[in-house]
Amino acid sequence: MKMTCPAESDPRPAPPVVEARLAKAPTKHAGKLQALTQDLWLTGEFTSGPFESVAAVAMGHEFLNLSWAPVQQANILALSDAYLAKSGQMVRERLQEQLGVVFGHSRELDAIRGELAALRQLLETLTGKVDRLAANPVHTICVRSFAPEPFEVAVPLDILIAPDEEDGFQAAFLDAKLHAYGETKEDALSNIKATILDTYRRLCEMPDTRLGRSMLRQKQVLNHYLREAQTR
Amino acid sequence: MKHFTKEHAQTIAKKLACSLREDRAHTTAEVFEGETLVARFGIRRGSRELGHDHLPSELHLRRMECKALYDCTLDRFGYIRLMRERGELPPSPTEQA
Repeated sequence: MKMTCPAESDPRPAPPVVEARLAKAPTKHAGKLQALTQDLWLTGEFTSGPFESVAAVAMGHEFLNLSWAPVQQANILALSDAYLAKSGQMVRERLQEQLGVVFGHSRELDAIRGELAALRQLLETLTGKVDRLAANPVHTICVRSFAPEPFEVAVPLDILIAPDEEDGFQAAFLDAKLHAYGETKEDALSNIKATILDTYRRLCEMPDTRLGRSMLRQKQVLNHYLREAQTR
Repeated sequence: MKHFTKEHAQTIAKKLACSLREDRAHTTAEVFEGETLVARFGIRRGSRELGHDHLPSELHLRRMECKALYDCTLDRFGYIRLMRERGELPPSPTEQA
Protein backbone atom coordinates (compact mmCIF):
# COMPACT_ATOMS: atom_id res chain seq x y z
CA MET A 1 0.00 0.00 0.00
CA LYS A 2 1.27 3.42 -0.90
CA MET A 3 0.92 6.57 1.07
CA THR A 4 1.33 10.12 -0.07
CA CYS A 5 3.06 12.83 1.81
CA PRO A 6 0.76 15.16 3.69
CA ALA A 7 1.32 18.05 1.33
CA GLU A 8 -1.81 17.48 -0.70
CA SER A 9 -3.01 20.96 0.05
CA ASP A 10 0.19 22.41 -1.35
CA PRO A 11 -1.00 25.21 -3.61
CA ARG A 12 2.01 24.91 -5.82
CA PRO A 13 1.32 22.69 -8.86
CA ALA A 14 3.78 19.91 -9.29
CA PRO A 15 5.94 20.25 -12.42
CA PRO A 16 5.19 17.55 -14.97
CA VAL A 17 8.86 16.54 -15.05
CA VAL A 18 8.79 15.70 -11.40
CA GLU A 19 5.51 13.84 -11.71
CA ALA A 20 6.90 11.76 -14.53
CA ARG A 21 10.03 11.03 -12.58
CA LEU A 22 8.02 10.09 -9.53
CA ALA A 23 5.87 7.76 -11.65
CA LYS A 24 8.99 5.94 -12.76
CA ALA A 25 10.55 5.74 -9.35
CA PRO A 26 7.90 6.30 -6.73
CA THR A 27 10.15 5.53 -3.83
CA LYS A 28 13.10 7.60 -4.96
CA HIS A 29 12.22 10.61 -2.85
CA ALA A 30 11.42 8.45 0.06
CA GLY A 31 15.05 7.29 -0.03
CA LYS A 32 16.25 10.86 -0.05
CA LEU A 33 13.94 11.73 2.79
CA GLN A 34 15.11 8.74 4.73
CA ALA A 35 18.73 9.74 4.23
CA LEU A 36 17.91 13.30 5.18
CA THR A 37 16.01 12.15 8.23
CA GLN A 38 18.83 9.88 9.30
CA ASP A 39 21.28 12.74 8.91
CA LEU A 40 19.06 14.86 11.06
CA TRP A 41 18.83 12.12 13.67
CA LEU A 42 22.55 11.79 13.76
CA THR A 43 23.01 15.48 14.18
CA GLY A 44 20.33 15.42 16.82
CA GLU A 45 18.32 18.25 15.37
CA PHE A 46 15.00 16.41 15.61
CA THR A 47 13.80 15.58 19.04
CA SER A 48 10.07 15.70 18.56
CA GLY A 49 9.31 12.01 18.10
CA PRO A 50 7.85 10.46 15.00
CA PHE A 51 6.75 13.82 13.60
CA GLU A 52 10.18 14.43 12.28
CA SER A 53 9.17 12.36 9.25
CA VAL A 54 6.50 14.91 8.51
CA ALA A 55 8.96 17.67 9.25
CA ALA A 56 11.44 16.05 6.92
CA VAL A 57 8.85 15.91 4.19
CA ALA A 58 8.11 19.55 4.77
CA MET A 59 11.81 20.27 4.49
CA GLY A 60 11.95 18.21 1.35
CA HIS A 61 9.30 20.51 -0.11
CA GLU A 62 11.24 23.50 0.96
CA PHE A 63 14.83 22.56 0.13
CA LEU A 64 14.67 19.77 -2.41
CA ASN A 65 11.93 21.38 -4.48
CA LEU A 66 9.56 18.46 -4.00
CA SER A 67 5.87 19.15 -4.22
CA TRP A 68 4.82 15.75 -2.92
CA ALA A 69 6.47 12.40 -2.66
CA PRO A 70 4.90 8.98 -2.51
CA VAL A 71 6.60 6.87 0.11
CA GLN A 72 6.11 3.39 1.39
CA GLN A 73 4.06 3.18 4.56
CA ALA A 74 6.38 0.44 5.71
CA ASN A 75 9.30 2.82 5.35
CA ILE A 76 7.61 5.44 7.49
CA LEU A 77 6.75 2.88 10.13
CA ALA A 78 10.28 1.48 10.06
CA LEU A 79 11.69 4.99 10.30
CA SER A 80 9.35 5.75 13.14
CA ASP A 81 10.22 2.54 15.00
CA ALA A 82 13.92 3.05 14.44
CA TYR A 83 13.69 6.58 15.65
CA LEU A 84 11.71 5.56 18.71
CA ALA A 85 14.17 2.82 19.55
CA LYS A 86 17.13 5.10 18.99
CA SER A 87 15.65 8.03 20.87
CA GLY A 88 14.49 5.75 23.69
CA GLN A 89 17.96 4.35 24.01
CA MET A 90 19.45 7.84 23.92
CA VAL A 91 17.04 9.03 26.55
CA ARG A 92 17.78 5.98 28.69
CA GLU A 93 21.53 6.45 28.35
CA ARG A 94 21.26 10.15 29.07
CA LEU A 95 19.01 9.48 32.03
CA GLN A 96 21.41 6.87 33.38
CA GLU A 97 24.27 9.28 32.91
CA GLN A 98 22.41 12.07 34.68
CA LEU A 99 21.29 9.76 37.47
CA GLY A 100 24.86 8.51 37.83
CA VAL A 101 26.06 12.07 38.14
CA VAL A 102 23.32 12.87 40.63
CA PHE A 103 24.01 9.79 42.77
CA GLY A 104 27.75 10.38 42.49
CA HIS A 105 27.23 13.90 43.77
CA SER A 106 24.97 12.52 46.46
CA ARG A 107 27.69 10.12 47.67
CA GLU A 108 30.26 12.89 47.60
CA LEU A 109 27.90 15.14 49.53
CA ASP A 110 27.39 12.41 52.12
CA ALA A 111 31.14 12.06 52.53
CA ILE A 112 31.57 15.81 52.78
CA ARG A 113 28.75 16.00 55.31
CA GLY A 114 30.42 13.30 57.42
CA GLU A 115 33.76 15.10 57.28
CA LEU A 116 32.08 18.36 58.22
CA ALA A 117 30.41 16.72 61.22
CA ALA A 118 33.76 15.31 62.35
CA LEU A 119 35.41 18.70 61.89
CA ARG A 120 32.60 20.40 63.80
CA GLN A 121 33.05 17.94 66.67
CA LEU A 122 36.81 18.44 66.64
CA LEU A 123 36.33 22.19 66.60
CA GLU A 124 33.99 22.00 69.59
CA THR A 125 36.48 19.83 71.48
CA LEU A 126 39.35 22.18 70.69
CA THR A 127 37.28 25.21 71.58
CA GLY A 128 36.44 23.61 74.92
CA LYS A 129 40.10 22.89 75.58
CA VAL A 130 41.20 26.36 74.59
CA ASP A 131 38.50 27.85 76.82
CA ARG A 132 39.65 25.66 79.70
CA LEU A 133 43.26 26.62 79.13
CA ALA A 134 42.34 30.29 78.93
CA ALA A 135 40.33 30.04 82.13
CA ASN A 136 42.94 27.86 83.90
CA PRO A 137 46.39 28.57 82.54
CA VAL A 138 49.21 26.21 83.39
CA HIS A 139 51.11 27.54 86.36
CA THR A 140 53.71 26.49 88.85
CA ILE A 141 53.27 26.31 92.58
CA CYS A 142 56.27 26.33 94.85
CA VAL A 143 55.91 23.87 97.72
CA ARG A 144 57.88 24.83 100.84
CA SER A 145 56.21 22.63 103.40
CA PHE A 146 54.56 19.24 103.83
CA ALA A 147 53.10 20.08 107.25
CA PRO A 148 51.66 18.36 109.17
CA GLU A 149 53.63 15.44 107.71
CA PRO A 150 56.94 14.85 109.49
CA PHE A 151 59.04 15.89 106.50
CA GLU A 152 61.07 18.98 105.86
CA VAL A 153 61.66 20.58 102.52
CA ALA A 154 65.37 20.97 101.87
CA VAL A 155 64.83 22.65 98.50
CA PRO A 156 61.43 24.11 97.52
CA LEU A 157 59.66 21.92 94.97
CA ASP A 158 58.12 23.35 91.82
CA ILE A 159 54.79 21.68 91.12
CA LEU A 160 53.19 22.17 87.73
CA ILE A 161 49.41 22.47 87.79
CA ALA A 162 47.51 22.18 84.51
CA PRO A 163 43.91 21.53 83.53
CA ASP A 164 43.33 17.91 82.62
CA GLU A 165 42.14 17.18 79.09
CA GLU A 166 38.50 16.65 79.96
CA ASP A 167 37.91 17.79 83.48
CA GLY A 168 39.82 18.29 86.70
CA PHE A 169 43.48 19.14 87.04
CA GLN A 170 46.74 17.31 86.94
CA ALA A 171 49.77 18.11 89.01
CA ALA A 172 53.29 17.03 88.21
CA PHE A 173 56.63 17.07 89.95
CA LEU A 174 58.67 16.75 86.82
CA ASP A 175 62.08 16.32 88.42
CA ALA A 176 60.99 13.00 89.90
CA LYS A 177 58.47 12.17 87.13
CA LEU A 178 55.58 12.03 89.55
CA HIS A 179 51.99 12.84 88.60
CA ALA A 180 48.66 13.15 90.34
CA TYR A 181 45.16 14.30 89.51
CA GLY A 182 42.32 16.05 91.29
CA GLU A 183 38.91 17.55 90.71
CA THR A 184 40.19 20.98 91.71
CA LYS A 185 43.63 22.60 91.78
CA GLU A 186 43.70 22.14 95.54
CA ASP A 187 42.89 18.44 95.22
CA ALA A 188 45.54 18.00 92.57
CA LEU A 189 48.12 19.76 94.73
CA SER A 190 47.16 17.76 97.80
CA ASN A 191 47.36 14.50 95.81
CA ILE A 192 50.79 15.26 94.34
CA LYS A 193 52.12 16.05 97.78
CA ALA A 194 50.76 12.75 99.07
CA THR A 195 52.24 10.95 96.07
CA ILE A 196 55.65 12.53 96.64
CA LEU A 197 55.69 11.49 100.28
CA ASP A 198 54.36 7.97 99.62
CA THR A 199 56.99 7.46 96.93
CA TYR A 200 59.74 8.86 99.13
CA ARG A 201 58.76 6.58 102.02
CA ARG A 202 58.48 3.56 99.79
CA LEU A 203 61.83 4.09 98.06
CA CYS A 204 63.57 4.80 101.37
CA GLU A 205 62.31 1.46 102.65
CA MET A 206 64.31 -0.31 99.98
CA PRO A 207 68.08 -0.56 99.66
CA ASP A 208 69.59 1.00 96.58
CA THR A 209 70.64 -2.42 95.32
CA ARG A 210 67.01 -3.38 94.92
CA LEU A 211 66.11 -0.40 92.79
CA GLY A 212 66.17 -0.18 89.02
CA ARG A 213 68.02 2.76 87.45
CA SER A 214 65.04 5.13 87.22
CA MET A 215 63.76 4.16 90.66
CA LEU A 216 67.19 4.87 92.12
CA ARG A 217 67.31 8.20 90.36
CA GLN A 218 63.85 9.06 91.67
CA LYS A 219 65.00 8.24 95.18
CA GLN A 220 68.07 10.43 94.80
CA VAL A 221 65.99 13.33 93.50
CA LEU A 222 63.54 13.05 96.38
CA ASN A 223 66.43 12.81 98.86
CA HIS A 224 67.69 16.07 97.41
CA TYR A 225 64.40 17.85 98.02
CA LEU A 226 63.16 16.20 101.21
CA ARG A 227 64.35 14.92 104.53
CA GLU A 228 62.60 13.49 107.51
CA ALA A 229 61.91 16.05 110.21
CA GLN A 230 64.20 15.84 113.20
CA THR A 231 62.25 14.98 116.34
CA ARG A 232 63.25 17.14 119.30
CA MET B 1 41.80 12.82 73.67
CA LYS B 2 42.99 10.37 76.28
CA HIS B 3 45.55 7.91 74.99
CA PHE B 4 45.58 5.80 78.13
CA THR B 5 42.80 5.23 80.61
CA LYS B 6 42.38 3.45 83.89
CA GLU B 7 41.44 0.34 81.91
CA HIS B 8 44.85 0.44 80.19
CA ALA B 9 46.59 0.88 83.54
CA GLN B 10 44.73 -2.03 85.13
CA THR B 11 45.31 -4.33 82.18
CA ILE B 12 49.01 -3.51 82.06
CA ALA B 13 49.34 -3.96 85.83
CA LYS B 14 47.83 -7.42 85.47
CA LYS B 15 49.99 -8.29 82.49
CA LEU B 16 53.20 -7.24 84.23
CA ALA B 17 52.17 -9.11 87.38
CA CYS B 18 52.45 -5.94 89.42
CA SER B 19 52.05 -5.83 93.16
CA LEU B 20 49.45 -3.26 94.16
CA ARG B 21 49.62 -0.84 97.09
CA GLU B 22 46.81 1.38 98.27
CA ASP B 23 48.40 4.78 98.72
CA ARG B 24 46.58 7.90 99.82
CA ALA B 25 46.21 9.56 96.43
CA HIS B 26 45.79 6.47 94.28
CA THR B 27 46.58 2.79 93.95
CA THR B 28 50.21 2.21 93.09
CA ALA B 29 51.34 -0.67 90.91
CA GLU B 30 54.93 -1.83 91.28
CA VAL B 31 56.81 -3.90 88.73
CA PHE B 32 59.43 -6.18 90.21
CA GLU B 33 61.94 -8.36 88.47
CA GLY B 34 63.22 -10.72 91.09
CA GLU B 35 63.72 -8.42 94.04
CA THR B 36 64.45 -5.34 91.99
CA LEU B 37 61.86 -2.60 91.66
CA VAL B 38 61.75 -1.64 87.99
CA ALA B 39 58.86 0.80 87.82
CA ARG B 40 55.93 2.25 89.76
CA PHE B 41 52.81 3.79 88.34
CA GLY B 42 49.63 5.17 89.81
CA ILE B 43 46.13 3.92 89.02
CA ARG B 44 43.51 6.54 89.71
CA ARG B 45 40.46 5.66 91.68
CA GLY B 46 37.13 6.23 89.96
CA SER B 47 35.80 5.73 86.45
CA ARG B 48 37.51 3.35 84.03
CA GLU B 49 37.70 6.22 81.54
CA LEU B 50 39.95 8.40 83.67
CA GLY B 51 43.04 9.56 81.84
CA HIS B 52 46.40 7.88 82.59
CA ASP B 53 48.62 9.54 80.03
CA HIS B 54 51.57 9.46 82.42
CA LEU B 55 51.69 5.67 82.03
CA PRO B 56 54.41 5.42 79.32
CA SER B 57 56.82 7.71 81.14
CA GLU B 58 56.33 5.90 84.46
CA LEU B 59 56.91 2.53 82.78
CA HIS B 60 60.00 3.92 80.96
CA LEU B 61 58.37 3.17 77.63
CA ARG B 62 57.49 4.99 74.48
CA ARG B 63 53.81 5.50 73.81
CA MET B 64 53.65 2.85 71.09
CA GLU B 65 55.43 0.34 73.30
CA CYS B 66 52.93 1.05 76.05
CA LYS B 67 50.11 0.44 73.57
CA ALA B 68 51.80 -2.79 72.55
CA LEU B 69 51.90 -3.84 76.19
CA TYR B 70 48.16 -3.27 76.40
CA ASP B 71 47.46 -4.92 73.03
CA CYS B 72 49.36 -8.12 73.94
CA THR B 73 52.07 -7.66 71.32
CA LEU B 74 54.52 -7.01 74.18
CA ASP B 75 54.44 -9.27 77.22
CA ARG B 76 56.17 -9.19 80.60
CA PHE B 77 59.15 -11.12 79.27
CA GLY B 78 59.56 -8.64 76.40
CA TYR B 79 59.14 -5.71 78.77
CA ILE B 80 61.88 -6.95 81.13
CA ARG B 81 64.17 -7.58 78.17
CA LEU B 82 63.50 -4.03 76.97
CA MET B 83 64.31 -2.68 80.44
CA ARG B 84 67.60 -4.56 80.44
CA GLU B 85 68.45 -3.21 76.99
CA ARG B 86 67.77 0.32 78.23
CA GLY B 87 69.83 -0.11 81.34
CA GLU B 88 66.92 0.09 83.75
CA LEU B 89 67.96 -3.32 85.01
CA PRO B 90 71.38 -4.94 85.12
CA PRO B 91 71.95 -7.70 82.56
CA SER B 92 70.61 -11.07 83.62
CA PRO B 93 73.19 -13.60 84.96
CA THR B 94 72.76 -15.77 81.87
CA GLU B 95 73.48 -12.79 79.61
CA GLN B 96 76.52 -11.86 81.70
CA ALA B 97 77.83 -15.41 81.38
